Amino acid sequence: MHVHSSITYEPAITRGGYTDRVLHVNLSTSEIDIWKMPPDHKDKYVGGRGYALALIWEKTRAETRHDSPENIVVMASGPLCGDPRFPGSGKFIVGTISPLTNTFIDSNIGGHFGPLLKRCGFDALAVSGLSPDGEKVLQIDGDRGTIRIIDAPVFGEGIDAGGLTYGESLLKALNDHELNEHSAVVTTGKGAENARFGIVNSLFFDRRRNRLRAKQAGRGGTGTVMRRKGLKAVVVQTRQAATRANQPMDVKGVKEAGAQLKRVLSKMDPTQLRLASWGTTVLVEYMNKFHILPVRNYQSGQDPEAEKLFADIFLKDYFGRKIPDGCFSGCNLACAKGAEDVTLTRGPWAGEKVGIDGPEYETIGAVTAMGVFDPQFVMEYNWYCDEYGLDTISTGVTMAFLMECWQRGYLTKEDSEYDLNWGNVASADRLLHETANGTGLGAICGDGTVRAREWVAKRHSDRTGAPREEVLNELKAFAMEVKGLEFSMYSTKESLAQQGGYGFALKGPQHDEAWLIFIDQVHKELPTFEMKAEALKWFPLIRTWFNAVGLCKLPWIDVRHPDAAKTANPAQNTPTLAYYVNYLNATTGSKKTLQDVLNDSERLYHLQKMINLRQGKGTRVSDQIPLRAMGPVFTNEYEGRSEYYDEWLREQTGQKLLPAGVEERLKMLIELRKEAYQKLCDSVYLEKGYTTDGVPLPETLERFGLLDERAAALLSEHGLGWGDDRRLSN
Amino acid sequence: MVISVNFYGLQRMVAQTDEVQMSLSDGTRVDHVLEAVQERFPTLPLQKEDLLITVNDKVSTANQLLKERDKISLLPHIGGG
Repeated sequence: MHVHSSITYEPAITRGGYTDRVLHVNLSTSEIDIWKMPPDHKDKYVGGRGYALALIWEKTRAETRHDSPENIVVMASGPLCGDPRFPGSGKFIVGTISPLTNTFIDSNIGGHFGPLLKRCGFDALAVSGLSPDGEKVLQIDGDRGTIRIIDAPVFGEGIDAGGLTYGESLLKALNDHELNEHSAVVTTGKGAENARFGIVNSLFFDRRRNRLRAKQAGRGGTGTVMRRKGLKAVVVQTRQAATRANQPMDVKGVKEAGAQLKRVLSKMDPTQLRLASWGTTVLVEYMNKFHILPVRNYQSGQDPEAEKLFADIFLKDYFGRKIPDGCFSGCNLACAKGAEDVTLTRGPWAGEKVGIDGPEYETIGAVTAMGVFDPQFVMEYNWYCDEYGLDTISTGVTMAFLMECWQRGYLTKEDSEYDLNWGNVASADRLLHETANGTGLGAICGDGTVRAREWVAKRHSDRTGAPREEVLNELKAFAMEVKGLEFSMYSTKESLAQQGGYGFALKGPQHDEAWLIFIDQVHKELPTFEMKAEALKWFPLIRTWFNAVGLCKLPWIDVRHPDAAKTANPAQNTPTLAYYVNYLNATTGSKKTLQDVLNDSERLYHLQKMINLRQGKGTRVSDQIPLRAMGPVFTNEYEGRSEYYDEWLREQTGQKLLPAGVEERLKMLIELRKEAYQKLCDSVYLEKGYTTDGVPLPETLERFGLLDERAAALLSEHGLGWGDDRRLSN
Repeated sequence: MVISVNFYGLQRMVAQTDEVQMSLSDGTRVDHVLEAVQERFPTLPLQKEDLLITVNDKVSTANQLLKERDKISLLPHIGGG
């Protein structure tokens, strides 16, 4: 095993959740160094996403792309990550400049890697550079106090191509063939090399299942960046006890906050969503009921066949072992379900029995986007995407887009060599493997929806003589992306607030910033533009905080506290949030209120917005959503839900009589929906302290200590100077 | 009058059906239906604070008056992942 470089070090002792150290590795030079962070760094940037944002803002430029040497891949937990006395504390984020959006992306991920990295003495790992001579593995050993860059070991063609199989072989090779809870690894697979939406797998040993399990940082191509850098895996190992991970300032306070949250989860989850038993698969049934499932590229939100993918099917046929499946110790919500000994029937591993972690709701949703309702295909799609290192969401959305291009005649057999009919499992399976291998139509699919759209437009235009721009505009209506990132798995046609939740999301349309569908569409709690705008400010801020401190959001957002109903805004679930604030204060020694927490988040939010602005994704035009996200594009979609659309039109126009033809009604609906979305933009920008073009006002940045020279220069490029009244929204 | 109660997720599993129809007298309110459902399915978790009650897919309150062919759903609160 060739060692390129190594250092010895004394792991820093954690105090109040922080080590105040960042491990930096430059793969171009094999340099390894440890940055000691100044005392005020944590006050300003909190941790996790905040640390990643600070590094990307400081160390990259407008010209930086995902494969530029100066691009950095950051893996960071946060001050509250790693303490099993509080549920959901195993999260870390992977942040970088995305190959899909060309701006900042981060994706949160469970498992033991984040907690072990902190116990090895680091709040974050930052990897820059590009390996000049082959793939590397980074090994961080907190027990021995060594950090090494080694040539990636070779285990054989099949294993070396896989994120899961390679991770297992690597851990065994480095640990005398033993798998244990003291080491964890992050990996990518060959799909991450061939596609722009490569993921990072986080592999950890689960004693109950006696095997490695995996969670994924799925969105935005973080695995692709890792692969471009030549970083095949990162291994962390230490035997330091988990309870010593954070060295909280008030141990009793941590225990108390954790016990309170655990009590709520134990009492309420069994009578609410039952995530502990079913995982997020339970959502399929509810999304289908309310026309939110993204069936056939989000054309319809509901399908009679969807019941084949309800939670009880997976519970009966796949989740055979009814055991707690948390992705980190101490979480009694434990929603990460898994299946054992599933025999693969397709692809290069056909005939093999594998353990499968998942499926999550998002993966099932992605399969329905292809018009497939086959649970076995869901399981295999899940496993192969993980093994190849592909995002199940972006893969599914891009495949579904190509299928709709086929349905509507934009693509023919001349382009794809095989039928891409909805629900054709053989075709979906073939396209998946081609995407991982970068062959055939998969080479186009792997470039993501935006680039696939360009390719289809050119092919169609060349074949038919139709003007390319015209074709492109037709395709844009149903290519489900914003800022270059594919939508996650919720159809937003009946929720204006969630249209904003996707459109304004800084990383692109991922629901971890704002998921407002139920309180808007079902509860009808946000009837005015102002109320929608307030929610579109508040929820992204609190959700940002979870990604900054190293915590999972689900115990807060998906298990309603019994006292929430007595509060002014039950959907905010503030009685549970009080436990989180107590946990923060007990760990770090701070005396923060919920409002302080929101203010900390707002600083990070605006910093991310400034990175978007610098990267050309920060103005109003970048917040625009495809027509399909606002409503039906084609008459078949309108007709499939005409009762709702007719009623909506009557309400909006005050007309009892609507035009007789569906085409006229559709046209009327589209105009009203477009107008509503623009009004929402105005309201949200005003609420957030931005101009009508979506650019932060100087005073907004000043309030959070972000108006440095660089920020001021960037704002001046958009015509903004301090005290200039004409920029005020509305 | 006849109304129907739809079950989803956990409730569908416990009730072992996705819908029951009930014959009720005029003037019946939603909370009377909840009591009747609880009587018929004693193990069904029906704490009001855990539930979002809809009538014909519109959010309702426990004291809403029902009418012929109304469809009641008892849903959990969902906040998104």
